[in-house]
Amino acid sequence: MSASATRPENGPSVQLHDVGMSFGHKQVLSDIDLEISPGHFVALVGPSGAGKSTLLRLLNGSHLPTAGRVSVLGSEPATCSRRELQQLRTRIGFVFQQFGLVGRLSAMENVLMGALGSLRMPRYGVSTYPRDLRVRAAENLERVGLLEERFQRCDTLSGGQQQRVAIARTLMQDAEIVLADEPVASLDPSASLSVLETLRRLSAEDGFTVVCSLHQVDLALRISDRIVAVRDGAIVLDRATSQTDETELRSIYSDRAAA
Amino acid sequence: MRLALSLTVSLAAVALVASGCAESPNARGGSSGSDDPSELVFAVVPTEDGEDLAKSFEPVVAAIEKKTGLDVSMETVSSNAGVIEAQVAERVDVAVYGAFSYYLAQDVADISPVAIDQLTPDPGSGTVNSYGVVKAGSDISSIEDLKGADVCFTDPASTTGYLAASAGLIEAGLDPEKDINPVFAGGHDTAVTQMLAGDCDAAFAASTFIDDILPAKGVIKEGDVTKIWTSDGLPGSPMVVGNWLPEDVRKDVTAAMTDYDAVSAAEDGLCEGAEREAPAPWGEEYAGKKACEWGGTGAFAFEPATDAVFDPIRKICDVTDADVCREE
Amino acid sequence: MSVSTPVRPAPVTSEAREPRPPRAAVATWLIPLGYVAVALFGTWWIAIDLAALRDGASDISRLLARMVPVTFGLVPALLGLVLETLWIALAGTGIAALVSLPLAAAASRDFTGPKPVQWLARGLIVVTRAVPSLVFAIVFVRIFGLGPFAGALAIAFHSVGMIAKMMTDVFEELTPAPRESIDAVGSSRLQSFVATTLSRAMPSVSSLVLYRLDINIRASAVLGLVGAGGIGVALQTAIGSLNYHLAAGIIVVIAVLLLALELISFLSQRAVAEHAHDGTVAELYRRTPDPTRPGWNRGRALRTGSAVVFAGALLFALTQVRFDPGRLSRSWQSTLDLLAGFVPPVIDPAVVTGIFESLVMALTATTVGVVAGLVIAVLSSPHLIRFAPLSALLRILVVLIRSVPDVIYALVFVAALGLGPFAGFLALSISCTALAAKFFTDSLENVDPAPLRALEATGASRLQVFVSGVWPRFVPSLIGNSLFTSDLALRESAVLGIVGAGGVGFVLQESVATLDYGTTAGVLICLVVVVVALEAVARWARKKVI
Ligand SMILES: Nc1ncnc2c1ncn2[C@@H]1O[C@H](COP(=O)(O)OP(=O)(O)O)[C@@H](O)[C@H]1O
Ligand SMILES: [Mg+2]
Repeated sequence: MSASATRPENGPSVQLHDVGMSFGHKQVLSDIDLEISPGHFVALVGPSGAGKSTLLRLLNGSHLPTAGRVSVLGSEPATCSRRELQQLRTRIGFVFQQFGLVGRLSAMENVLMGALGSLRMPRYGVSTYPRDLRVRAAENLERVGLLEERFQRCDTLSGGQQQRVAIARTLMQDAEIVLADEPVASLDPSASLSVLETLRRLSAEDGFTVVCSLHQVDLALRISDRIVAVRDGAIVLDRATSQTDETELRSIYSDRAAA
Repeated sequence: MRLALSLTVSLAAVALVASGCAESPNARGGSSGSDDPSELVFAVVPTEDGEDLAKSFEPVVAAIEKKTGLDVSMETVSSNAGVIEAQVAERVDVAVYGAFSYYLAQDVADISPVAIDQLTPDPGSGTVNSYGVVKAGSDISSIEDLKGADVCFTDPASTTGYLAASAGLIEAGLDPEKDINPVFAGGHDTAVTQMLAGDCDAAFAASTFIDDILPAKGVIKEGDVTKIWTSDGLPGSPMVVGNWLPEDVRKDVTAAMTDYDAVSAAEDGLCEGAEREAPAPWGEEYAGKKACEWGGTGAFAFEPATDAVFDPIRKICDVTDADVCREE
Repeated sequence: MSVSTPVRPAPVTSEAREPRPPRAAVATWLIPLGYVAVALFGTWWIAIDLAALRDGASDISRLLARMVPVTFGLVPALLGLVLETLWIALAGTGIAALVSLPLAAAASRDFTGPKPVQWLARGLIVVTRAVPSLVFAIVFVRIFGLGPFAGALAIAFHSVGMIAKMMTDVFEELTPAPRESIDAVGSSRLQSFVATTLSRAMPSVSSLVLYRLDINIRASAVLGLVGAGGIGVALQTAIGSLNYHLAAGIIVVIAVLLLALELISFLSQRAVAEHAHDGTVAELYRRTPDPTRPGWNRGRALRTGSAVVFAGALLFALTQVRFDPGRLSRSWQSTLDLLAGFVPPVIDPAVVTGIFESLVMALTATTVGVVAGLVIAVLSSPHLIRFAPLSALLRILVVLIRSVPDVIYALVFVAALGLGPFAGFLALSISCTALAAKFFTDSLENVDPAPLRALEATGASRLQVFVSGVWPRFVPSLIGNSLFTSDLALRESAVLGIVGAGGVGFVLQESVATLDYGTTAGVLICLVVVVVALEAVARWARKKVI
């Protein structure tokens, strides 16, 4: 996909201004300012409960901020109608820790589901999708190295393979941003690395922006352009990856006990 | 949550206390069927025309208790097979059910009919009929005209709703399975209403439905239906006792039935507080008198019955050779 | 639309619901405690007397002896009845399944559409479930006339309540992750439902629809009320005329039919399993040189073939129950007259006593049925004992138990014990056992094996895996299905009338037979109240446990 060349790339992919988020009385995020340029690979690190998932959900409009402004790809989810939000979401890929695949369907069908946003009617079964989409699904499966497994039940694939299917699914969206919420948290180290490298490669090839929350500091350092660290709902570090080191990042986790 | 918990706990407590202290309302005394019963089990199967079956039999039960000096526990049972099987096992001592049920039961259970209901002071007034009816203005004017017609019946095991009619058809030279198209509507009322709605050309049902119940409920009006056939009289609902009961108990039960009628029962205080006015068909003699509700059909009395009373049923079974008549 | 509407205080997120830690929720012990309390009261009230049962053994054997030799009457006639019943049941169940799908989707708590739609769907489900098919039958026969159409519709309406309720449960038990990921691609609500919810629920849904078909074949005696005939009516007539040889023959035929259905159900479960098991075939389609073209393999042929066969059978069944639309114009007056009879509803002491008797009996019998059903289900599921012949045997046994109609059990116990609640209680306990065993076996089978394999990998024994892996996942459906068994038992308690134990079924039948429709309406109101109450408890428990 040569989308990167054809896409109008004016302004940042993501812009958060003074954003706060609370659930009832519970303040989960506060004073978040963040701007991410197109095509960047941003790692979001921080201890459990820091607010990473909440931040990612703000970016695709699953949550609306209780304070400040969130702007994604030039639109503000908070002011979107349902229809507009639906349209915005077709441009944003989301990769979950739990993969979110339908285990009893084939890899191909799960990938095809990524294109539902561009179709009108519901579909059931591979053959009900138009041929051009199936061609793209096969291409995308090939790009994540799973063409051979295209007709295999997803729940018989390994964890790493399942996450690749999920990534191929977001490729169907031709997304401009891919949000990944701890995509490798349930994978073993070698599968983790290969999944992230795949994501990185695809991002470079297609030019989409990636915001990826991670627990593994070493992986974040290896894979990202930029690291944003969150703790207790606030950004405590935001820097190019080349300018941080492991010790600094570890400290964000380690003195958590004191907090 | 608290509430649910305390409710549950108190319910459990009540259950425990109750089970510890009190006799269950359903506890049985000695088992029936012994030579010297301490209690009689009296079962009734509903007929279509009784509304509060249990209540209407209370005076009858009171009469039996009075004559026999035994406790009587009454059970209302929705299936004739249930009562008959209990009789086979000698666990129901007295029963009131349809004549056809007796016909079936006499083969398998050791029982005798002792009385049969009598609707008015005239002996034999308990007999019932089956009617064949058509919609007013129909071309069909006799049972012979039914050849090729759709005919609504009640169900294959109903005497007034099928068997009698079936015998009538055979006597008129029609095969009830081949010469007409039988439709079993499941009930006397449905057979008639669906005939009126055009689902079939004619319907057969018990006379009480056409004469009393359906007009009273406003389901049919005077002149809606035309009667094209009436069966011979068929026995009403008998009272049947188990032959395993001691001679004197059987005598006492029979006496309770034949000595009392609805009016004398009321005079004897068997239904205090629940008396009704004697209905008009009972005639001048009883006009204005108080009477008890005397069984499910609101009868005037039970008259003595013998096995011969049921010959009309045997005749129907002989004529039709119906499946439901076959003996085991 | 795609978008589960964004909300400020967000709904439960996947993360909040995903890892279900086995929490000792109050419901997990409060509800069993409630059952035990009612059962204690029930045992006292019913006056259970096991010695009497022993004394009656000879009467039972005498009765059973009267059933042999089994006869089948005229075999072609009997087969005709079987087919007739099958078509009507299939049409009714099929219609019910199609109607249930949108209803269940709207009633599920994951539904993101307008609240009033959700409440309407839930209301319809409860009401159609509470109203016995007997009542639907007398209404539809007025509207549509005597014949299979009214019968199929009576079956369909009453089945909607159960199918939609169980579908809702199935939908709600699915993990939300796939749905959320497909919502996130900007799909519409319908697309997301079909792709993630329906596709995952398909195995459970098809199994429960097949089970309802099984129930509807057995319950086909109600067709007698609409002049539709069929095997149930023949059985009722045979029993009513004490022709036990023929009754036994018909039961044998029904058993064969139900065994065939169970086999189909079992095979289709294997073909479309929700979770991959050891034997699951991984390849869903054969790979062809063209990567976009799914090829045919055995699995695909089986799936497509059975879908085509079912759709064909359903279509054929629907053609068998056609009705005459012209008739509708003629029937509205008599229908209105009938319905007018329902007002004012009469709730007299007889109705209240009937409800009370049925409720005590249903809850007590459920307690017995749940315990017995649990034993059967645990023994026949592969979690503890992996001995295929035993599990097949138990499965067959459960089918055979439910092939025998309640009235036969009732007669057997009446012969042994005489009339009264004890005989009815035993008969009802047997049907509750069959119900519970079926529900429990199915949900034990549907437990996701992946976490169990992880547990096994740690070296845990089978019992340990069962206790800490299977049981916590099974508890929600254990509680839900127990309440649902009571719910069904309450309406099946017409069997109590057969043994002279009263109950609401008896009051209902009486009121219909004597055209006392005010009382019928009173019974309906009480049934709706009780079913709604049971449903509320079940919902509360599910919220606590799932
Ligand atoms: N829907 C919600 N309602 C209430 N609190 C929530 C909700 N979602 C998340 N939280 C709370 O917000 C905080 C941040 O959660 P999350 O964003 O999931 O953290 P992370 O992904 O960094 O582990 C946690 O304390 C969590 O309990
Ligand atoms: Mg998180």
